[in-house]
Amino acid sequence: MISPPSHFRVILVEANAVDARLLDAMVEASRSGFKVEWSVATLAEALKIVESNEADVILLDLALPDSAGIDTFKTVRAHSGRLPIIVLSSSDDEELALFTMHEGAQDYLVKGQIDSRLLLRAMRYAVERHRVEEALALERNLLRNLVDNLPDYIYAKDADGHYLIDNAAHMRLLRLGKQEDIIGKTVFDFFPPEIAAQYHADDQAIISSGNALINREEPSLNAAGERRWLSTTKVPLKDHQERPTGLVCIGRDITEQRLAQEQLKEANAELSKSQQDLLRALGDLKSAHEELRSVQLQLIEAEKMKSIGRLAAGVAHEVKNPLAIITMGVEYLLNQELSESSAGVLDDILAAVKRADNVVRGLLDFSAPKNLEVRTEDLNAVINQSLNLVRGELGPGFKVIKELDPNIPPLNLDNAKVGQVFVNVFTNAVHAMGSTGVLTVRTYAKQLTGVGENIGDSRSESFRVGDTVVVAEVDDTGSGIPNDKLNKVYDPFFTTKPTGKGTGLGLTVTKTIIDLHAGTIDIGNRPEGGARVKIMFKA
Amino acid sequence: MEKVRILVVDDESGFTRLLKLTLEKTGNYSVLEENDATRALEAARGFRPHLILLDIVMPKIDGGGVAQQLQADPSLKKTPIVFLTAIVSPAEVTPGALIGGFKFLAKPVSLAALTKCIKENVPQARV
Repeated sequence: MISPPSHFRVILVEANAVDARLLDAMVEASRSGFKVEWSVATLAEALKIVESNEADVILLDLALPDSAGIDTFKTVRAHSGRLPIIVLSSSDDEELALFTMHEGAQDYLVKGQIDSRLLLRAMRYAVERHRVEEALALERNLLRNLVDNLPDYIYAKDADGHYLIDNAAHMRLLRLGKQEDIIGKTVFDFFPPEIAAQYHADDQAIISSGNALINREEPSLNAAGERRWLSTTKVPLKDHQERPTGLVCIGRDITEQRLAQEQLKEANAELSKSQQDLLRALGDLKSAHEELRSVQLQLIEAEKMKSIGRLAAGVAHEVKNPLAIITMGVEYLLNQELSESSAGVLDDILAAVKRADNVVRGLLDFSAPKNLEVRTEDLNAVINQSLNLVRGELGPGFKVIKELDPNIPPLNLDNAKVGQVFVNVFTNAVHAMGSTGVLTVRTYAKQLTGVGENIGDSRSESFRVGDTVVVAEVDDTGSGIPNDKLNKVYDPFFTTKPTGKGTGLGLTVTKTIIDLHAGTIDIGNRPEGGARVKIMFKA
Repeated sequence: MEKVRILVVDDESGFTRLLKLTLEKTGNYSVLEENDATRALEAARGFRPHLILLDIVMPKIDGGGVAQQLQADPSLKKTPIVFLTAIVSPAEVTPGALIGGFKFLAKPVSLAALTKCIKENVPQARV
């Protein structure tokens, strides 16, 4: 509540000097804090003082020398802002006085019926009402400003959907200029029928259920018919008896936000795709690295072979000379008169020398540089010839299955050396099987369609996709090769056979010969058991 | 019957001694050992062998050099030379193998292989 100031200044506009004095005296006599500060008789004088804006209330006679009737009031009203005006009317013109009330006069008094109490009360009410109105207007303006300055769309509707309040942002959205354009209207005045019906149904659901709708994201249209996304909160309005009277809505345009979210989503998807690409590239890199490693290992192996070769030549010479002496010595002794046991001992010595010599021969065989005697050959014939050579090793417990494709193309190869390869492979297979088993030999031709279809392909410089290769597979039903030994099988002196049964050079020689033919050899275990040797030559 | 004369040039005296003993024990051969390759020509001129067994890796002069000297001598030009060596690879020493016009035998060699080789190269020895 605003406390009244102790002193109120009054403008008295009265053409009749007697009346003026009388009224002045009444004000004076009331001792109420009101004081006639200005007493004038014409409209012109009155306006001058009104415009100085220092007065608290006007006592206004409508019949002035320079203006009369309602015009007097309107002119003063127009110049006085919200200054409270109390109209002084003559008794015969009460209708006019009443009319001024409609136009904003605080009160009217009929001259001749005024006493000081009445006058005081009218002035007090006028000033007090003016204060309250000012305060209310201030508050209303504050709220209005608040509502209008918020960027969110704010409006209230009654229970039937008529707009009661609408803020500037929402009016801009609907492209409306004045409150009058929307107050009292409904969504059906602004939106296409289906959309309006939907909005109206939503509103009615909230009003009838009494449940608020909080931050629902929904598509909407602006006045230009553009699709926008809104986040909407609608709260039902209720009277003091909890009866629904309408709703208030706060909406926010989140189109940009949605757009940003969608862009973020797309960016995320792209990122995840990039990440996948990266992972794939990393995988490729890894396998390239693996390949490089394997090539490096092969290079190291080749280097190893070379030094072993040099060593072998030296060792061979140094070993063979003493072996030659032992051999010659034993031969000499064998031609003497000997007991049977002595002759046996000498035979054993000769056999041992032969074994030692075989090791040295093997060493030279794989390490010495070779010249191939290449001719066009039928691989099947070479295989048959090698099978014949190992026939002696195959006891009655063995079965040989030949699946040789007669249509494989002829190959350029060294008959004797490739024959040696198959003799080695067959001998290994037979040794792995013991006394019984099945040896399967298979040949076929095929076209390489992809690097991945055989690991041998990618290791070989000589094979390309599209090349036709001739494949020979030798399967046995033996014990197979322990997985941790698979990469050692080509190492010189590596053997799984008991001492004396193998030199450990067979597969080393085999690999050297295959390499000289630019072919590949793969040794692995078959899932059914036993080992498979797969040899490929380019057709 | 005249024995077949074999000159063996090899710096391994243990080997040449046993070779001589073994071959001569058969009764068919007379063997002269020469452990110093630089004296091989001289030995051959004096001994007039039917066949010369020549080592390759020897100090001072190798078997190839000795073979050149021997073949340069008109009186020895037709005498067959067999290289008996530890350095050749077995693949090159299949029986009767000829490398650069020369016969080769790989050490260690059995008496049987040796006599077979001699018989192939010395007609007289086949009797």
